[in-house]
Amino acid sequence: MSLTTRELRPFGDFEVMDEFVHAIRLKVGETLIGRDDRIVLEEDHYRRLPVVVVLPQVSEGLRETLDDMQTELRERGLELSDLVLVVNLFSSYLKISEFPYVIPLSELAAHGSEFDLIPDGDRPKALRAARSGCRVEVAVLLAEQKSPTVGMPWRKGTWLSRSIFGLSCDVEFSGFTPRPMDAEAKATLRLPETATRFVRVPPGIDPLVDESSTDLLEMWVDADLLATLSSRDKSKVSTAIQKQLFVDAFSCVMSEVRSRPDFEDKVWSDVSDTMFGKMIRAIAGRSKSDGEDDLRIRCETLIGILREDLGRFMSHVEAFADLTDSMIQSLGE
Amino acid sequence: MRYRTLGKATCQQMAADLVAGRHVSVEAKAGSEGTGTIVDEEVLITILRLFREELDAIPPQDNEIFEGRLAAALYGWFESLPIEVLDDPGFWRYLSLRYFWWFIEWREAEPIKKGNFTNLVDATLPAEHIPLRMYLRAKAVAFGDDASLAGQIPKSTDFWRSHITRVRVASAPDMARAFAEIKRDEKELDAPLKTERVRRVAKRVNRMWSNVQLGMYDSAESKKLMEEIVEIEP
Repeated sequence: MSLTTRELRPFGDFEVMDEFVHAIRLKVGETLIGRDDRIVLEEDHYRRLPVVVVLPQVSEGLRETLDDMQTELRERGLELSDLVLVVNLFSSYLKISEFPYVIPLSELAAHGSEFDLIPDGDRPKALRAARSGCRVEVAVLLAEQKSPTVGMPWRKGTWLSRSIFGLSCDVEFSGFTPRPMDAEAKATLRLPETATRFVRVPPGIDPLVDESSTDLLEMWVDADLLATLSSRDKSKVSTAIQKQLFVDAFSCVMSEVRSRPDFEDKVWSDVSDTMFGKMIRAIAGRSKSDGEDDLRIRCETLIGILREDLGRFMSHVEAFADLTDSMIQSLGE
Repeated sequence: MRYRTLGKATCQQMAADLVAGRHVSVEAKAGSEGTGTIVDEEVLITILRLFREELDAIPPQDNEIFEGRLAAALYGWFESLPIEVLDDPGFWRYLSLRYFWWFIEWREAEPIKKGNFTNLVDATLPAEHIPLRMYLRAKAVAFGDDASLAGQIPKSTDFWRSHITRVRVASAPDMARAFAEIKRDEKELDAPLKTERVRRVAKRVNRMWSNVQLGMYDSAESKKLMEEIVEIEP
């Protein structure tokens, strides 16, 4: 039984179109990034660098590729003129959504191969929102509503193929920030006076929805213990305790996620930008030779394991944290 | 543009002090970002003063309506600010403690009593932070400058928080407005859009985002789609 959940289109793939759309690149300054990839920038660069959608250089020319798409579409009862190529910029913190380009696919060849997202220096809001970042989606959508047909796209706005890119100033997941828990905080949190640590997903937070950083999670550590850990942060015991706290935090969030009724329905693309997605991406790891597809497959596999068995999932977290080695070293200290 | 900000840890500590009844000076702790003309806070201060006077004189029957009306009144001022300012959580933290604390204390008395106040002020979660969620709510349903719909739905805390400001619908004003209008006019439906039904409707809309770019829908198309969804979720 496969443990992965894949994004499946209800009406199958459009091979010629997919090959074309998946080869679209985003050029940020002089850097080209591919589908599902993201670029992390300095704030100043985020607000200043040119951003351009670059269509693939197809050997037989764009017009011929569009003709091939037309043939493929006709086999499914669609015409090139039924579709538009849309560029959408989305920034989650302020819920900004902008559409700098909506181009009928039948007119694409006349537009050239590059789409400047900052024409005439007029920078879209999403590309000025440096602290929250931006998701650039280039998609082929159904331009108008059609008669409902089983197995066929018919609703206006349905995407047939798309590529998504990320621009961010946010560093990837880098752990949790413990808060000191003194007597007053323990009383407020209604904990015993001698409580050691307390981890919780605060009321109202949904790790599967909320897109902000992982410091949404509240990790409280006894103030004296935290001060001692900080003063000896390089010691083996301190390292082992910090790693255990890291594992505890994961356990808390993953338990919360498993209790959500909609978790079963989620696929990687639904959650990749969320607090949960950042944590999964962190433990999935990434080697230099990996492409985004490799990373995505590992993330999907981990989500599958989490669905099946929390205990087994947590063993992956412990392995990532290298907890065994730290414990052995601390025992010998 | 130059504007005032507050660091996250400072904001959390100051909020804890305020909850404990201790005096704090937000101005003394606030930093400054940007260059050029400083953000003019006079309009904000005036609107907040008028609403505070109203609250003191006649306690509102519906807290949500009061918050929504205030959101609509402030919308124009928020919209006048550059995106770089609005995108800075430090600015929202500053606003929450410098100008909105009286409102936060009144609006969220219960969570504060239980010690759950950090999310209301630290601007980590936009749909939880009080001034920011008010801006997002007004922006989600504004038609031009008119965001009055934000203050027209009674008993709608969960509706705004769970089904509008927190999810992608908030980025598609035509769709958000269509949803809010149906909720506002629920008496015209065969059955009211109460909690469970509205959740089912919202879930269907959110799932649709997976396959459909709903931001492409204009006002009439959004209304038609929302009516269709409400009809199939009795």
